[in-house]
Amino acid sequence: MAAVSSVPPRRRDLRALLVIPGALWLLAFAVAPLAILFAMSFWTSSIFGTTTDLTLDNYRVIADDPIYFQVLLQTLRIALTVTALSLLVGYPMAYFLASLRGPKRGVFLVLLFLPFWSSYVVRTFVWLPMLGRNGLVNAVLLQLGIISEPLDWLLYNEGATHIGLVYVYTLFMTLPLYLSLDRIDRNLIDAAADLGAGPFRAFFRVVFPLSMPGVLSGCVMVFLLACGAYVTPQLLGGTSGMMFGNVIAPQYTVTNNWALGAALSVILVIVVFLCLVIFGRRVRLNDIFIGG
Amino acid sequence: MTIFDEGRGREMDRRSFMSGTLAGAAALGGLGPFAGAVAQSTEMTALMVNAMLGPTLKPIVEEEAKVTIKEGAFLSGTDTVSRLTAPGGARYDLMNSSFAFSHPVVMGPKAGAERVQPIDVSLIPNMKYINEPSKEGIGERDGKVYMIPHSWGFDSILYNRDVVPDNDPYTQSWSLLFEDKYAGKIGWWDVAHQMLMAAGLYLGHAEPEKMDRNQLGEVAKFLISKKKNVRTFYTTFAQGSNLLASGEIAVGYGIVPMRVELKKRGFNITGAWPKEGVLSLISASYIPKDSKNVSAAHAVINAMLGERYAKALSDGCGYLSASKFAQENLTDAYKKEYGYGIFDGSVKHYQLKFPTNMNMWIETWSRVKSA
Repeated sequence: MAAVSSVPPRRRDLRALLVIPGALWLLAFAVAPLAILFAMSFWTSSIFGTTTDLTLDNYRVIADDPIYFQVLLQTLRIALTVTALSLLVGYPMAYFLASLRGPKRGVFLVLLFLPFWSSYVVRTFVWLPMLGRNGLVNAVLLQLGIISEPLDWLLYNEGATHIGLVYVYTLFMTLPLYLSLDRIDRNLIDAAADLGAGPFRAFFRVVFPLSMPGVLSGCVMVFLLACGAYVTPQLLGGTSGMMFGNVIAPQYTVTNNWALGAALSVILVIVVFLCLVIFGRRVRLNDIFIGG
Repeated sequence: MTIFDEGRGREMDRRSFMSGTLAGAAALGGLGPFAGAVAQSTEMTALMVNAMLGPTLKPIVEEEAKVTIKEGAFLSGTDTVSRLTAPGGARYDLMNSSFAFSHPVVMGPKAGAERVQPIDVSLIPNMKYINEPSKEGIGERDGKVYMIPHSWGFDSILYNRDVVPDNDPYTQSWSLLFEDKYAGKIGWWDVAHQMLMAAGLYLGHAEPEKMDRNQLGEVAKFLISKKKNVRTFYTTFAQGSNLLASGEIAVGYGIVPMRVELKKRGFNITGAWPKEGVLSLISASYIPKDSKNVSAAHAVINAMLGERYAKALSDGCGYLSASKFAQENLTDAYKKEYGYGIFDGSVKHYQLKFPTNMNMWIETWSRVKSA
């Protein structure tokens, strides 16, 4: 506050102009698309095209059919589980990275990023030859004599969707965790040790609480991304691992029902926003989006 | 000092890297329009079953029509007509899909409501060679032609003969795609129209496209009860072919080009001839109103009815040409293999027609998928 008030009023006005590019960007690429989406959700679509005739029918269709609600619940459940699993996988990795020094850290960071230099679809697709009926896992298990028949349940179900999503989103969990852990003052750990805390106690009483901004940031990012997942459940989920994105996408790409697709998207946006609001009541938004 | 005190000062490197990458991307993006302009002169865009312009077929068409064809990725007839009516226009110079299914959308409800432009038949001299059964696929109104057939195709059940023996009675019916015998080995194509038509035929509906809400509800109930047998859905023909080729599924809804392609690659995959009838289609071409290369579109339609293309079509992708040239000197075995019995009635088929209430069909399929 003190720093701001020390700036002469005229310079302050000029600095305010710096907000304009960002605000325009947000207006063009965030507010406007959402506004169009919202408006379109009240339009009328059929296979013959979309018209701007206003109707509540799209929301009526969604309200009348419990299936949409069930898929939405399933989506939130999967997103939550994926977030928890990503945290379990990402935390040790981030801790390990943050504890490294010198060139080793750079090497391991590159290794962490390496798979992410390929496209999302390729990274998802790679699980098919791994988990498939004639895939790598089954081949190894058969070779070792652990199984006599290939396992069918490794792929095309909710479990496979989880594996795929955790794999593609782990980086979004690991990076904020790593940044958060990297900022922790080592003297605090030394002080905890001096006061008699063992490594585990020091971790749970000092390191973990101090890394909470990274945990929150990672969890929110993974949760948001997982809520909107489409490719992974489409490729790996089979008939049971579907998510809300798989209900929305065909409305645009297959059936030309843009208005229903928009209504479904609006509902997903609102639900995810509400989740954020509820979450935001317990933590500051700053903690979530900039890792504290 | 921090416990993890390395790694600082790399921010600039990362930023430099990012800005360098963005600059490179921007530079490439800047070149894009120029590159497009250079290659535009004889180029035209087409959306049709990609196998119709497969490796042996596309060169014939391009040579005869003297154009370069850029293909879009074909998903389904539903997707094709959706693109035709999409806000912003079709963005293809030429489109092609099932006549009976697409006709109501392409032609619109009345004169003047057509979503495509009339075809100048004087530029299609090969039209006179269209065989008798295929003439049904000419879309005319008030003396103007809007749709011209070029081939027949049919959808059926593809199965792996290593898993499903040819003499299994299930191969004689659409039951193969639904019933429990091959549970866990079945794949369904994620398209409302075809899947509900197949299920409707199997459940005894003589004209499945006319099913009302209750009948569709019954079909949905049946499909939901059989979903447990399904290993996965697939959205593209390539995905379906991969599933069959990799052994992930042994039975799946499929189009003829999938069968032909898999056979060529050495897989023991064949198609069933269900007693309820294969789902047939007359593939018809039409020129969207916003076509930017109308003359090329006409030339391609003509080439696809020409002798060279007609004779190469079945071997190339399994479709049956609408041209009289295609049926010259064919052996009985060849005719049987490719289903030429559709023309003389010896192969039972039912045309994929546009449903009375397509939106209801789409809702029904969404329910089946989500259940």
